[in-house]
Amino acid sequence: MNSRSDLPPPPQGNLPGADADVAALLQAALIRPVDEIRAARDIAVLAAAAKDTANVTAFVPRRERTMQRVAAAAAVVVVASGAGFGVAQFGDGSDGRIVNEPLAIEAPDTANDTPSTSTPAPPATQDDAAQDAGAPDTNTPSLSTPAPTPAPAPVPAPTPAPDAPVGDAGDAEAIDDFGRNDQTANDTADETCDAESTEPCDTDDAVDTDGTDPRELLRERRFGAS
Amino acid sequence: MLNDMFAEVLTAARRGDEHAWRQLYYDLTPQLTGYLAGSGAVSAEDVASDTLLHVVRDLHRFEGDEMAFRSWVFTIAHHRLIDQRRKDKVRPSDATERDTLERHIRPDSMDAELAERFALDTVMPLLDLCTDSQRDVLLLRYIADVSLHEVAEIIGKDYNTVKALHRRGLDLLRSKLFTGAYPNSQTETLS
Repeated sequence: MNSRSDLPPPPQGNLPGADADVAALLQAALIRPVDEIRAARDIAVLAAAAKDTANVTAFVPRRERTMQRVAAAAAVVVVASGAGFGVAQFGDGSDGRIVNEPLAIEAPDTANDTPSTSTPAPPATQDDAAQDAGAPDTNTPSLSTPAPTPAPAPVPAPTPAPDAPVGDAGDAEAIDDFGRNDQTANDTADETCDAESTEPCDTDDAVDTDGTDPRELLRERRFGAS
Repeated sequence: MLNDMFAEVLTAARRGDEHAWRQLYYDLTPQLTGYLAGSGAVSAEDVASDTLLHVVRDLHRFEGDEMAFRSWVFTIAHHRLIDQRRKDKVRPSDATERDTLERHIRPDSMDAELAERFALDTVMPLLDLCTDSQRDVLLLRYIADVSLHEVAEIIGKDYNTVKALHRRGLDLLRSKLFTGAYPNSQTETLS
């Protein structure tokens, strides 16, 4: 940690006497020495970015808070329920909220399965059909040749929302591949803001840095390219 | 302030000279972080880093002397601050509790940390009494060390408005500090 002796000299402005007391108070409380470790990292990043200003967004250092979110998201608790479905709880690491999101584990696709020719499935009986409907089993199982256990009915995969808004810094939050809130999408939008504009950056128009709509990218990642 | 060295440092910084960036960084960051922290930025250091990256990106377009450069940098910082305030409204977040951080403070730095904490705990409640605009004006004037004319340009308000905001904010702080209305009368020792 740095000492006060590392502080830069006080501002050189001409403060009238009436202002000096408040100015001194604010400066003493708010002007802190530079953290050396952070400074070394930031300076290296800034110098490298200055040599390649066209790709300056690639040099954005990982924010401390973003790293906190990543660490918190790594602590995923999956509550198994049903056949292949569950609820994942994600702490976003910043405000203590727990975000429940459906964990989209796809059910096995049985449509293209080739049935085995060596052990054909027994024909369904009326009782089997009734059992599937919830009626009690009236078959008396043979002790020597037990009846095959019927396979559990496949559970359909959850239907994803087709056009969920992504990367919008307004009400909707970006969702990543795993259904978690993806702060980096919004951060990317911020990094495209024009620093010289007279207005603060508008984060409503989140577009990937290469010009690709993040909604398209998300759809491709989740459901494959169309 | 870099004064006579400024033009040379800026030219070297445009080339990506690390030494030049070190000089700019150490010259700007304490005030930049102080302004952002005093304005209530949740993670002032992060916003300051973002600000400097924006400076890098648009540095080739900048023209002017050191005061103009300083004013330009704080304009960017002000915009970043507004962005973060917007984000915080949408997604409120709390920084790590100070008590948690204190457990990680090294014993040899405890005195300095406690002194800084005392000073910060003294000032922040006072600044919270101000409106956002008053706070912006006061911090830009006294932490960023820019003139009221430059403050007006940075926050995009008329000079007379800024002058009035400055006066009201200053009167408010001084009335709380030196009339005993502020409960923590120890603040007088800092002035």
